[in-house]
Amino acid sequence: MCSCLVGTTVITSSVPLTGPQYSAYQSARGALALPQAQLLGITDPSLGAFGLHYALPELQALFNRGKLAILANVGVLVQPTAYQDLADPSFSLPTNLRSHADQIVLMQTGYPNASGSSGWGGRTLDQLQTYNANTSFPIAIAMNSPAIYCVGSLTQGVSLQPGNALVQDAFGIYPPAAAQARATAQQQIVTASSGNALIDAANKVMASALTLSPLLQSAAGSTVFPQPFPATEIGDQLQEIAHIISLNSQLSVGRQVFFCSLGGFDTHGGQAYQQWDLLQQVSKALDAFFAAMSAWGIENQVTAFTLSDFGRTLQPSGAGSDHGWGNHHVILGGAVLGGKIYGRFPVMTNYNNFNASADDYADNRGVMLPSTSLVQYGATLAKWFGATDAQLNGIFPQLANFAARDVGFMA
Amino acid sequence: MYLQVVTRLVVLVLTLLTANTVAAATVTVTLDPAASVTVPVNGVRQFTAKVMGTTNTAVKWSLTPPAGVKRNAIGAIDVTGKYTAPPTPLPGFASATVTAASVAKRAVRARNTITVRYATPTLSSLTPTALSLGTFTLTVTGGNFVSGAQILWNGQALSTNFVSSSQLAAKGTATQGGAASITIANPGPGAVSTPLTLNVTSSLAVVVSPSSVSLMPSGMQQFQVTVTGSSNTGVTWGVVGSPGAGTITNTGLYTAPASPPVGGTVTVYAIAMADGVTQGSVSIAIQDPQAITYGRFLEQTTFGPTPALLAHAKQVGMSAFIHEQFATPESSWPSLATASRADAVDAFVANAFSGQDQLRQRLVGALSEIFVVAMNKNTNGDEIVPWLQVLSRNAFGNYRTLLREITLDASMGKYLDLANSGVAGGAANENYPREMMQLFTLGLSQLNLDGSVQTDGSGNPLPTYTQTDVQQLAKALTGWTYSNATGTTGSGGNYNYYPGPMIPVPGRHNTSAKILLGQGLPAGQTAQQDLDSAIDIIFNHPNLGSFVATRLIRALVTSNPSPAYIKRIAQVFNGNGGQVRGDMQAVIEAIVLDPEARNDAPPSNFARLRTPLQHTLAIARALNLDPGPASQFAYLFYNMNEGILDAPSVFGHYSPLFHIPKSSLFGPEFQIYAASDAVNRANFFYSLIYNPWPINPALQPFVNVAANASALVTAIDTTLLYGRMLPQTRTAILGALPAMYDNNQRVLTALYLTFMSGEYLVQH
Repeated sequence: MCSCLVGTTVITSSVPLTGPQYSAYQSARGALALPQAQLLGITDPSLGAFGLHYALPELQALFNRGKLAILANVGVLVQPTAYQDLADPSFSLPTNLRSHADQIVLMQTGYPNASGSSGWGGRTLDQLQTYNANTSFPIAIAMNSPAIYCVGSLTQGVSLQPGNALVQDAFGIYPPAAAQARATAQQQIVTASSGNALIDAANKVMASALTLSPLLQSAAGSTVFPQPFPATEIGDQLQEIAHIISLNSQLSVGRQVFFCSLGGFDTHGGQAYQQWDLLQQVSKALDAFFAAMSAWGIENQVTAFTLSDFGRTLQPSGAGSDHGWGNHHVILGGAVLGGKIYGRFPVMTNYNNFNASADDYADNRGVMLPSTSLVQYGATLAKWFGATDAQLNGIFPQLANFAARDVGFMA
Repeated sequence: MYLQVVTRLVVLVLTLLTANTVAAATVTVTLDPAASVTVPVNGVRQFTAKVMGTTNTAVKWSLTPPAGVKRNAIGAIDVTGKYTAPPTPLPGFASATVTAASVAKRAVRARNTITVRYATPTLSSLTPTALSLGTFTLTVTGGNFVSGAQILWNGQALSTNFVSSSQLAAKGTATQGGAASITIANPGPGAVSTPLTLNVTSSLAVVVSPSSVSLMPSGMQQFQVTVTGSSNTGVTWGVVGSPGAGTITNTGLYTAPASPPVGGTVTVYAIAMADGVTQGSVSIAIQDPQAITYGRFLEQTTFGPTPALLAHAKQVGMSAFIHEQFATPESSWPSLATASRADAVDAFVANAFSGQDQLRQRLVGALSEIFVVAMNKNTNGDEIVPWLQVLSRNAFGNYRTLLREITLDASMGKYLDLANSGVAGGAANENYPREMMQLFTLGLSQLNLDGSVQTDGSGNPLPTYTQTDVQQLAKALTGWTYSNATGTTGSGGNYNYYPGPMIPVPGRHNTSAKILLGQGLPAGQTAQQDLDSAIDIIFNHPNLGSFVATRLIRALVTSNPSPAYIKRIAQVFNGNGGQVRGDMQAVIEAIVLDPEARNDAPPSNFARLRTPLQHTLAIARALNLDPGPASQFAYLFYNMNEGILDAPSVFGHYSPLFHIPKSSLFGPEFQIYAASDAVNRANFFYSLIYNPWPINPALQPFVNVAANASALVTAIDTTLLYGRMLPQTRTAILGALPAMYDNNQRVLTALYLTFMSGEYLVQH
């Protein structure tokens, strides 16, 4: 997965399937290496044969249909970074690499340090306001808990739970006038100004619930899916997202971002089972999601992609692995130029003599040194979303440091 | 509805966090509706169950009677979850329990309770249709009346006789002219008719002024009275609940009691001598001048004031209260030999709710968000209790001792993988060493004493440690394994065992020389020697004082302390005043007695959001409303993003880096307060106060004053907000109360709106 993909995340993705590259992978990965027979074969037109983790048969099929692309070894960078730069104390690197809490923030803010207070999803929507001029529905929605990815200077991120239409039981009383009186009073309380910033912030949360609840209730239960979503945490989240997308024609939403997440990939131990279990959930849920978009004729308007805080060390520690840096990701949708691996895929054999190698690894534990920056990844998507070159520079201040502004995986 | 072709694009992000959650395949069952439901006799209610974490989403439905009730008296549930109520309510309106058990995993089930109520009475006519002042007999006709039904006069029950299912009669005394609202209530939950109006004719009126008064204890107020409609303008004065509610002279001079009465309000009345019936009244709020001061103090040092604790703290003073708390014996924790997950959850919440060692429990809560262990990885009770014991035992000790004990704690050894690191070969595990420096002691950036980040010439933060330091610390901490019954191990280490700290494995410690944070650990040291060297280096690092000060201030007092406040506390931690470095008692006392904490008129950025559990316990303690064993409602806390003893990752339930959206202010707990969290909290609190239907008996003192809307709101303000309720909140609640059909509903309304107001959600 990232195994080869070092680490974890989505793909064990791509392990070179044959020859010295596979042998190098196998020797580096030790007990965590997947046998060749378990890998699901995919072929990149120029790079040749790779193997996906055996938990991902649905993604294998989507790759083969040209709907899914893989972006190799992407991570947070300030500027293009070579191995020898790491020893130069004056060279700018992202702050707090390998720290979960910080890297979870950086991948969402798109800034190379943790000081940002907005995310690149929210900032992109800030730039594309004209598309959403006619809607009062949230345009940046995180599942289960708030995500800074969705927050812009103008764009407010909101958080929703699958299946929760924000109905307050206290408003279900008899007679209707009493229920209405309670709701009216709460509306008055939570929209008044208190003089304390934290009181106001807490009130604002309930105020948003009061606004959203009727919209969510009016739509509940009216969506028909061509293929059932798996009853998993990630399946539920993607189903709710599909559900909200199905409302969009009523809501005049022009551009929208969603954020859903799945934890548990911090496999310092027990990686073999856990990674399989999590990856198969992701694969099945994405498959159902794409099937819905496709059946509704909007697959070209919807793109799903993955992010993570970091990949993991290629070298195991016990039955797990440690925190890494670069990672492989997948992009799925009708507008994706799929069936290809983008970016520079690390040369497995370079790991064994990494000091002499080019720049694929950051250390002797097999931490991948990213060859594509998060901002290039983000800018490729934001451009497809409608952002101009000038807007991209505002959304991603570090983008100017990189030659390629478009990694090429979007049509 | 399917979508048409659209001209819009949607991006969707799927994020895979590698954060430390471990158990992914847990099967869960949730019920809709999740809160208790009430169904009329012969009525039908559909339940649905949602199964997650398995592909087999089937459930088996069952219905359980309460103690002493026969199975054939509780109705039935079919295989689809459709419940049909019996023809009569259960004895005592006891609730039946509906259970949905996962077919894939029978032990996983969700429950809800069903209360069966009588059909709602109808009201068609009143005889007579109008009354004069004085005693009367009222006959009502309608339908669905059952024995025990009551006629309600403006929500207050009259002494009622049951005549038939279509007729009731009652006697009473009309004391005021004007329109009265008459409704009929069958016994039990939720069966009140629509109202009819009965006019009481009177030419007499009594008006007392001023109409709204607020007094200090022992304060005095002269009231005036105006009697119209009679030449006899004499009145008789009285106080409801006197003498505990104060006294009034025969000329209308009121003297408040020396200490505020329960609920904080009293009612003064004047009865016209002309008829001995007609009266006017006014509600008086008795302010407690120290309520705000001590209420705020107890919010910071306990899980919320109870009336008794408020009185006690005022009596002994703040410093003495803290020292009393330092000396209070620790609440007990479950025995490791028998502890289940539920036992651990129950004890954690019960200690916080009712433990006498409130300050220690508050620290256990705060420390549990710093030194995180969680049940998603430590799945059994005995794997979680030792961690709680370490936090509890060391809450008032020294930070170095706490750090050493938590490092060797077997629960933590499992959670962050230090147990058996390096024992079976392979690289030293970096998980605990990294989090030990990042989350437990130093943080990522070098700090000034006031908590601000030190930067280089270009303004970039200076890192506290490097990846090399993590690796070096990992080597220094190799060679520890679980203990066993005899406290011994061979070179292969031991299997999981949680009583007692971890022990060193002979020959499995990495004995090479290490350099940690610029200081050397010589080659050849034992596992214990390297541990103590490493802990000394970290404990004496200049970041530690500011780090601990910032974390604990945020946990207890405010999310946005001033740099000067952090600095004062860091200096205490560092022992600058002659204390021992790391003395937790000195640090805690300094935090809560600091002028910034004690400023009762704080600046607008001063506050912290209560977590769902803190919010629940503050309500429960203030209202003396026992929520019962937490394991019974713990599943609801996952929907509020605060799984009890079960943080999703080593970062706890929320990140210390979290800012309030679109603000530069810190608000860590806001990370788990989104719209859905807010509604889930609200629904949980609502179920606490309306169960058992129609209202939790703990709320009777509020019901007693609820006929007077202003008195009710004042009582709630006094109890929950120490008299600080904002005027707009008060106005909004008062606006809602007239629409309620009885006093119980008024109390539920006023409490619910207060619970979910921003001013009660945040500690300020």
